[in-house]
Amino acid sequence: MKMNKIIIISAVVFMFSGCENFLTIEPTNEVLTTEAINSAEDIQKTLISAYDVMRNGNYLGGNMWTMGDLVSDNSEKDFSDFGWDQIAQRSMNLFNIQGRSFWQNAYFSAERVNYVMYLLDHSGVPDLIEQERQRIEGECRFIRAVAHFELVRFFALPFEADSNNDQPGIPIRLKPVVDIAAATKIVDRATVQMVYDSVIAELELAVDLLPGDNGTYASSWAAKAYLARIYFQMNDFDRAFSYASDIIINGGFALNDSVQERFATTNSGEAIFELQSTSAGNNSAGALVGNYRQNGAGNPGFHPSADLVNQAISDENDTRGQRFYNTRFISGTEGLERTYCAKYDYDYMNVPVSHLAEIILIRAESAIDKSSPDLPQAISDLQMIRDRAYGEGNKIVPGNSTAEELRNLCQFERRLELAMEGNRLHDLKRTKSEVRGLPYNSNRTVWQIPDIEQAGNPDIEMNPSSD
Amino acid sequence: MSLNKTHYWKLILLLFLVAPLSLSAQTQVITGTVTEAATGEPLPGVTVISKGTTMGAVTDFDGSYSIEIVPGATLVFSFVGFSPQEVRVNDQTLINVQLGESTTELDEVIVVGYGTQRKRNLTGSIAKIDGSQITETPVSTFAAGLQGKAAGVQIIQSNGMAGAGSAIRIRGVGSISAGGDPLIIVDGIPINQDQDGSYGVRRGANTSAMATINPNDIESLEILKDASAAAIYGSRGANGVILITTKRGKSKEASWDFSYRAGMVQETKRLDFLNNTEWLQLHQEAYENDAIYGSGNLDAGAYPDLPGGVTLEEAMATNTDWQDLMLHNGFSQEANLSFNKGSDKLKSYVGISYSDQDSYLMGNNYKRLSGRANLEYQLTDHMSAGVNFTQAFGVNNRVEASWAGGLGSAQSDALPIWPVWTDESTYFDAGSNPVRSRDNKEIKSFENRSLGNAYLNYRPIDGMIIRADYGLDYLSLDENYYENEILRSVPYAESRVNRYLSENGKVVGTYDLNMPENHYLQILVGTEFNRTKKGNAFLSYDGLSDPIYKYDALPDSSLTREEDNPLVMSNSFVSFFTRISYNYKGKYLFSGSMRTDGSSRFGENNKFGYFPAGSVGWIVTEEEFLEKSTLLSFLKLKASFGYTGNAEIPDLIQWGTTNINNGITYNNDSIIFRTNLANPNITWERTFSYDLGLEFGLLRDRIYGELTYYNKRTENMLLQVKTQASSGWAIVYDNVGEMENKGVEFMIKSRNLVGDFKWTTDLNIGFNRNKVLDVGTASPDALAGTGDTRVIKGHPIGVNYLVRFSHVDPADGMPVFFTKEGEETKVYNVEDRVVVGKPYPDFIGGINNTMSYRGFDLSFLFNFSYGNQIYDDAGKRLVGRINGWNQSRMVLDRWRQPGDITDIPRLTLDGALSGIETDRNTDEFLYDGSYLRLKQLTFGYNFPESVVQKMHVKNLRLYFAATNLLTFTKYPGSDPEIFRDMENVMQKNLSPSVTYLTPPQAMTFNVGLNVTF
Repeated sequence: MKMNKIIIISAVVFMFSGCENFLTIEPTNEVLTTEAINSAEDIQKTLISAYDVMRNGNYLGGNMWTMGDLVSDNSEKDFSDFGWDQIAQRSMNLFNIQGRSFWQNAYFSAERVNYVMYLLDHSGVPDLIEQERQRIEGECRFIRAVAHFELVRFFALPFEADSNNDQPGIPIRLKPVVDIAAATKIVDRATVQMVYDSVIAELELAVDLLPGDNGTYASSWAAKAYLARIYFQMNDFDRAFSYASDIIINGGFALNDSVQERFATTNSGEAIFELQSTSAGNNSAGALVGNYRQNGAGNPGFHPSADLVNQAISDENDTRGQRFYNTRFISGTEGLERTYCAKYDYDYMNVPVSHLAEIILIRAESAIDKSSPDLPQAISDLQMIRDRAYGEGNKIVPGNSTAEELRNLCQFERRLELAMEGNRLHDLKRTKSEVRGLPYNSNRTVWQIPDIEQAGNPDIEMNPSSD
Repeated sequence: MSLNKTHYWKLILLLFLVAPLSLSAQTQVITGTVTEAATGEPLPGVTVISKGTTMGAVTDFDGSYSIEIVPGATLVFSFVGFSPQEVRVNDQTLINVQLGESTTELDEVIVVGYGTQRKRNLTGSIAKIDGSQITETPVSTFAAGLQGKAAGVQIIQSNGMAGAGSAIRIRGVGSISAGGDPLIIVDGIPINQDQDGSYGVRRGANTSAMATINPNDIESLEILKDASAAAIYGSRGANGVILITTKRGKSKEASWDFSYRAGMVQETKRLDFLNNTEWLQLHQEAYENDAIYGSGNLDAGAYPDLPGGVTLEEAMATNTDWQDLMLHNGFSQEANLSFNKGSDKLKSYVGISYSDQDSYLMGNNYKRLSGRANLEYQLTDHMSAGVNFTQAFGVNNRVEASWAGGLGSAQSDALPIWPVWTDESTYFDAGSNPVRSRDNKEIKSFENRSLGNAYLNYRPIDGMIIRADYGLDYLSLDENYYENEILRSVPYAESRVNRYLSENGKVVGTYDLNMPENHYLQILVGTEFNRTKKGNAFLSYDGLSDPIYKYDALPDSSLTREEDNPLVMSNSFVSFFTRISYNYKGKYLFSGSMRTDGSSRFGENNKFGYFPAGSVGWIVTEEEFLEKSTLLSFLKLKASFGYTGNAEIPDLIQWGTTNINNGITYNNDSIIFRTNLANPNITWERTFSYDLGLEFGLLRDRIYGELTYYNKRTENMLLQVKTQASSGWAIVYDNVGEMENKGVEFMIKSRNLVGDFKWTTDLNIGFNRNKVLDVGTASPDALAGTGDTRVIKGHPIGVNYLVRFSHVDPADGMPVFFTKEGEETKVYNVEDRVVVGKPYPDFIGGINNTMSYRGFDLSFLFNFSYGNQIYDDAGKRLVGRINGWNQSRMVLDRWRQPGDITDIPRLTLDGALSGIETDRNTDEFLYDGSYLRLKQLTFGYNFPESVVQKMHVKNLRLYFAATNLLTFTKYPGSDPEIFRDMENVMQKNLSPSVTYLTPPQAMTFNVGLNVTF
């Protein structure tokens, strides 16, 4: 009997002593977050992971651009798909796939940089020098401002210059999620005004923190370019003009000789901020190329609208009409023709997020409508764009153009210069123009808050689904 | 005299030692032999007790015993499986006894957690299924053999494909995101059972890890349903426990069993679709409808292009019946050979089995070869040792199904106007061609399972047994996938391997204390550990001429992706448990247990859990006032309560993790990112349940029945809580939900006729009501299954959340829906979805009738399910959206002209033009899923003794057996027993009664023979 007791007791003791280790099984293919960040380089790698999200095909890598062009009047599609069909028909609901993925990825990039900001204060790494710290902080603020700005333009009614813009915008996410409680804390939609205020404040801080030259990563010029874009969207022409001018005069950028070059060359002289691609297997513009590329075997799913093409080819000198569009047979059919977009005919390319041509156009139009209008400046800027597009001297801007005429000319060139780059929807809303037959403030041109957002906040204010 | 415990034990020991040495004039020695009444064979191991004393003896190998008693004593002879006998001693000294086999339910031995008990003394709720009940009919997994046989146990087979899996639900679904299946234990080892629902999911169908357990090896199967029975399994018992005991050697002389069965396999029902003429006609009608009624500028007189680039002439000349090309009568066969010998020192059972099962889908087949050896050796009087081992190999030739192709294509996007071949050597490939896919793809899975344990039983003193046990379960699944050069310009080959290795060890001591008269007390104490390693590997190649499994050595140059994750420790459990069973005079029964579990799955703040349970019973018929009743031969009232847990949560979710080896670069710089947020509070789901029950026997237990009410409340449900996507995290795991299951179970077994013509009826029925009580802040869409089932507070789990359909407007054929508030509208809006149905039934059950007469026997089992709704996820495309799909013949009733009254709207090709939302999820395709099915029918003949002896065999049986023969249901689809393909646990809990082109169950016709020699 004693022996049995000994056996049992020793088994129990054995169990208890080995218990704690026996019951602690950690993952083997990943490290514990508490042990992951040990040097400034680790923080830098975490920051770069946010760029990896930005270039996601559903965000800046392409679909976000195509969404805007399809819902308005620049793009059309040739295939059927649950999500894209809704966009073409302007009936996006909370299950819209493209809207959902865009939302998810944009906020994903914000959360990654929120965490980097957290690490700057809490990681305790020994080798983080002040200069690096500031640069990293600047990039974080830039990335999350970009995310919030792009989101609010799609998911909320447009910003209007003479309104208090208290319509529901999007949740503002500036705090990192470091535990479950933070992940489940309800954050409601801030108003559009609050979002714009936040984005502007972030970018202005970024301008001060970022260096002028940050390699291919976000620089202070990238931040200024976004500020120019944002103020322009707000119709705040004074500030738009100011930032655009600063970039043009001091940025060290110059227009390329040809209109195609900023797509054909990575980081050309005209590029202010691009998302990088290093090979066909590491292509940040995969979705953009996938949507439009037309020099391959099959047919791309999207093509430019007839309206856009007609404008582009209306002047025989317009190199953009010649270069950006290609009319050919639709493969697999017998003799049907279509004009496709030829801007993105590459195995891989950088995503030109912001570039000088856009800034020049911003300055041109802002010069017309700023508090002290400067029409000659507008004419000069517009001429710069035209000279590159039509060939020098082939399309002179009449020196006696009125403000209204100039404005129309600028908007015309803008549409052609920036075609298929995702600007059209926002341009139409800014100028209170119709969006392919719908009013600029139609609820149907606003994406619905996606199901993945409502899932965590059932009381979130949803957008009206019709007008 | 005040004795403390030590003195008490010493006194007893002394008595035992002294007693045989002193023959006092007051005692006498009785001897005799105990034999089996039916055969006259001696019965060793029979317990002989002098009633009311502690004097006892056990018969030896010759059945002889010797016991010292006081004159006038009564001897009680008892042995498991036999009816006990009492003999009063007068002046005889030789008492021979013949024991007859017990025919009442109540003397049956039931396996309980870590032990056995007589059914009479059970206070918990346990159902027992004999192994023969499972193997009587052709089944590929044992779960299929349980359908309709135990009250409250719902088995839903996913579909009729070879090796298909089932979901087992005991008393409703107990969880949302954690596993909903019970713990399955084979010979004491908890086995790997694809708890996460993703085992073998490929191309639209799941296979089952249970297919490697040979049903023919099963001796008996016990289902532990309530807390008092399952709590001893602690944090893993909340969904119930299934205990499987495999066959032991027990026949006194060596005996061989051979069985062979062969049969034909068909689908239960074939659906009807349009032929080419009808399809063309309706396609044209849809186009014209859009031209006439829709916006846009279509020319009503034109002919739209036909899909697949075929001309109208070609289409009118081609009428392909794709279903016919996918279906055939399959052939299935199974052979088993086993050896059984169980007397003397060595008990052995050795068996080998081979089965080869086609399904009704051409090209789909599952072959399994398995062997088992169960050996137990009596080392000494006090010690025995044993080993159980099984090895199984399975090969599953799979075909695509549902959304992935195969029969699913034949029922959807393979149009009748398309041919299989465009010319002698070219397949049609401008549209879906499931024949082309099947001919040029190979999807083959190889399974390998080794399961075994070794144990030592030691009996240091009478009444105490200590058992040490160690077991291993190894399971590997290698799924090969290959597409040849006809499908892809560069052939693609892939191999995906999953491996599991579990270890289980325990030491359990049981002690039947020597108690004063009328008291019986058993104490059980034990400790157990369990840990599992998991690993996987992935290989893919471009350009191979054959699938990977055909190669001995693979060319490196073609390798495109390689991953190898060797077996690493994934989860572990450590447990301590104890149980006390007590009864007084066999009349008042008490049982209590406590288990402590710690697991690596639980967060650091909640590592250990405690699971107590208790139950009481009162055998009322032992009381004097009922002893003489002739009608009521047995009446027991019982109640139980306790805590059980569900630990089937993912292994590593408590850890906050960061990925530093992802290999992703941006701009040639490497990146790291967090992948999971830490939650040190992660814990098991906890269920509190209580049972009230009564068991009764009428007319000397000729009728036996049980009625039970149960109430289970689960809290701390681990939910994949969907956060706001703006947080940057899609889901976090947290224990926040609550759910309850309440119900009533009733079973009755009646031996209606017991003469030459025997007739027994078994009926069981279980009512269950499930209600979700709390899901934290989750919105309805946050917790979803495939096919639009949702988890919503206040409703049963998995409700259908759909827009309500009102009618079709006779004026223009447009569908009219109800808004959330009940107003009619023609606009489909997902915000108008409301709860309209549920996938789990109100009640389920089975009726089995067995009859026998002079060697012939006939049995038929009906099973039924009532009160659930089935949602046809493909319905909206199959009835009215003719664009690119064939149509169910139901569509022939569609609206055609103003004034038509029908439920099927106007056909359309383009929802944007017609304004008819063709991607709508409404209750148009929600059907009543109740059914009654003739599940099994067996007709057999046992050859008589005379014939059998001449053939020098012991037993010969021939039989005919059929399954799923008749189905009575209002459901118009192919099979009301259905389960969508799924990819994770939550989908498995939420997706029964949903179909998306899911293949139906199989109907089989078999003949077989069993020989014992």
